[in-house]
Amino acid sequence: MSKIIGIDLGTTNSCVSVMEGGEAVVIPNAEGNRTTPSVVAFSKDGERMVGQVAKRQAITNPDRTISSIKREMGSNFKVTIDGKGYTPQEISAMVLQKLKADAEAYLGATITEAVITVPAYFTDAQRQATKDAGKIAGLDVKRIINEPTAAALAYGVDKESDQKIMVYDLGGGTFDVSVLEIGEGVIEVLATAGNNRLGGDDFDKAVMDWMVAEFKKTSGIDLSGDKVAMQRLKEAAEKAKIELSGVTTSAINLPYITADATGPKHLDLTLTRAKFNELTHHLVEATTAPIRQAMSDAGLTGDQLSKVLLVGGSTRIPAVQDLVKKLTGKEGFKGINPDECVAIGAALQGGVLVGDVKGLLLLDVTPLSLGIETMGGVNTKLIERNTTIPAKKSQIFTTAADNQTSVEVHVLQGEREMAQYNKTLGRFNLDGIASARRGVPQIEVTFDIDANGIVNVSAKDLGTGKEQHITITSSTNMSKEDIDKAVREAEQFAAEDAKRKEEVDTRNQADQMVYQTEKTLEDLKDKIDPADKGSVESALSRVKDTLKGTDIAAIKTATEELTKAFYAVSEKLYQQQGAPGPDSGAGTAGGQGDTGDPNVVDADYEVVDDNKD
Amino acid sequence: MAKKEKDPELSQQQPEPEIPAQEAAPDDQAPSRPDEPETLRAALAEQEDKYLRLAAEYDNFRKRTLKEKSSVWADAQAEAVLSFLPVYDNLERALKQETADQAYAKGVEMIMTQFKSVLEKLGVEEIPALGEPFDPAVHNAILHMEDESLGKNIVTEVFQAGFKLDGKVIRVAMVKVAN
Repeated sequence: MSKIIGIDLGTTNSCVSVMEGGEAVVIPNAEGNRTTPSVVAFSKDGERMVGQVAKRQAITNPDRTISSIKREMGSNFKVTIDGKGYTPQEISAMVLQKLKADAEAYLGATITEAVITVPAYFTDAQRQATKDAGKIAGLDVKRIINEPTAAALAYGVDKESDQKIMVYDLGGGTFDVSVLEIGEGVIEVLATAGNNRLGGDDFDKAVMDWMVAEFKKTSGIDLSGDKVAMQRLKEAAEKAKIELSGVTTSAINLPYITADATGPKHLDLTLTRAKFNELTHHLVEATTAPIRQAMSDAGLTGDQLSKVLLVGGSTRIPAVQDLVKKLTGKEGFKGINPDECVAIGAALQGGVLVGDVKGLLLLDVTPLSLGIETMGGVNTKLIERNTTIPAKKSQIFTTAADNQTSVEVHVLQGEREMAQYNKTLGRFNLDGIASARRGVPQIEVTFDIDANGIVNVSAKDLGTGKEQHITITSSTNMSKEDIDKAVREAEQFAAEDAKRKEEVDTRNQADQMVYQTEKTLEDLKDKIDPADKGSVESALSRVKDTLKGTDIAAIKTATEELTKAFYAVSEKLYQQQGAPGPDSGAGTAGGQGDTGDPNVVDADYEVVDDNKD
Repeated sequence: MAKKEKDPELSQQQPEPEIPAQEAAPDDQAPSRPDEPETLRAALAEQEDKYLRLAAEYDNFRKRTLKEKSSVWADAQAEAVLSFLPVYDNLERALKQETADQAYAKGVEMIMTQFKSVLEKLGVEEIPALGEPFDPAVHNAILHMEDESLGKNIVTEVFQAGFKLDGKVIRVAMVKVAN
């Protein structure tokens, strides 16, 4: 059961993704984080650490902590630890090993294959080194793909018509811009440019420098020598930067940042987005030249680009997005998490290689709800729209009238509450139902949709075992416009439909009550006191009258009164039959029973005696 | 009330000729070529494999989702506590300040005691750091120094406390390490 994982092996951070159920899912590492720092360290005892753990001890162990090894891939650079030399591939392999192990733990399966991404400008030597790193880590690298290409795959651009796009990737430490040509399922890199020492970390530093300068102005103290204070400033700067992507001011509040002879000192600053843009303007501007370079190398102007994809956490910064728009005339695409979209694209590629993505037919759904018509012209839905198919659902229905021996199954497609406003897919009858009181027969209606969208509707009388069914082939033949229209109309008329449905429900309830009352009166005609019978009958005829008309409120009230009258009578009946239950006896009704008709009790005895004779 | 009585009712029908049941068109043709069974067998094997793969994936997904669900509460709590920790840190810093106003200092002390008790009741524990061997899994070293008189790789100062909830680290401690 081999899955091919997609790995974004980044300079500062790495990310892993895999296809699951037709969708790319990012795999969290053992610590629960969705990205892992690309840092490797050897402890003084020779123990190996990878990721956040390695980062945290870096300062105690600088000579044996290695970061940004990606910058050395493909070169003869070597790191010597405890007398042993390690190539960049070997160091990268350690990162890959951790990513592999964490993925295996998460998925509960062994992983032996991967797709790894590299910058578009990587040379053959650099690509081979990456492949080797995979091999050392125990991974068969099925494909090395370019990072901007992976981003394009994540956005599904490869499935669209031929076009040229730009990928703007501003990460933690590097900036890369690429121009890609998509055509006939092939993605070609036309040009790349960038600055591999420009990233989010520089933005944090700009804010930190400003904080130090401001503090010096007001307190005369220079914090830059105070490691602990600088650590707090660093965290606060990053936090403010992130906040300012969403709001226009951020409060930086660091009490007790330091102290001198006069007492404790606090740092209390407000950073506006405008000021932040000013502080980082030179960094954002620095991305302009590579953009222009890439476009000119590809021989394109802004209007020849169909879209710009934003990759890398720093593209969340509004000033960056504005610059992209200014230079290309296009609004950058940022729908997919910019920290994860490269890994996601790699996973998609892995899925295609394994046959996953085309094999699972990107599961289809029913575009509109399917149901049948029930009493009162209501559309009773059995399968909701957007249910993934194949799907099967059954529900038990019954008859609406006494001695009803056949039912019509009217199959509907649509969202409206009332049957008449939906599309008829088909109709059929099931007869031979054994004569019975209404509500007694059990008819099981089953909707069975196969993977191709063909609907089989069957109705089975659970009493006689008789069954009928029809097959509908055209249920998924509606155009997108028709589907959207149907959904829209359902929303538009939702209130109206709900009201109509309520009317129908009220009528049905009234009908049901009438039926029940009449039957009970019939069954128990001897045992009911004529006065009570009279009050029930008059309530009954009132309901029947209202049912003839259309005043729903009247029907409701009449039904309630009938119910009350009926319950009063039925309670009495149960009293008189010497019902053991003390529950109703506790109330006033019980009292009535006792003082009410002692004759009735005697009559029972008499009847028994008579029979004995 | 019997369950059936709640079932929606199908209206009575005028007796109509039955719609004959439409059988699904038989789609299996009798093999007409000698290698047909082989191709079918191969296709069947492939389908079975796909099915098993999917079944296994579903099962793993189900198990993982259950595991994730059971940790959701703890994770949510940990996140909430994490956002309050800077307040704790600043209270700690405030307490370290010398002041002549004893009453005021006492007040701040009491606030801190209250905060600590809230954390305790939530099951949040401080990560042992001061004097402990440095462990990058729970400590973040921001300063390093050499000192012969101290042990190897020992935490000598804690700038910000670290906390655990239910064994899971909410925040690592910010420390200074010797040697």
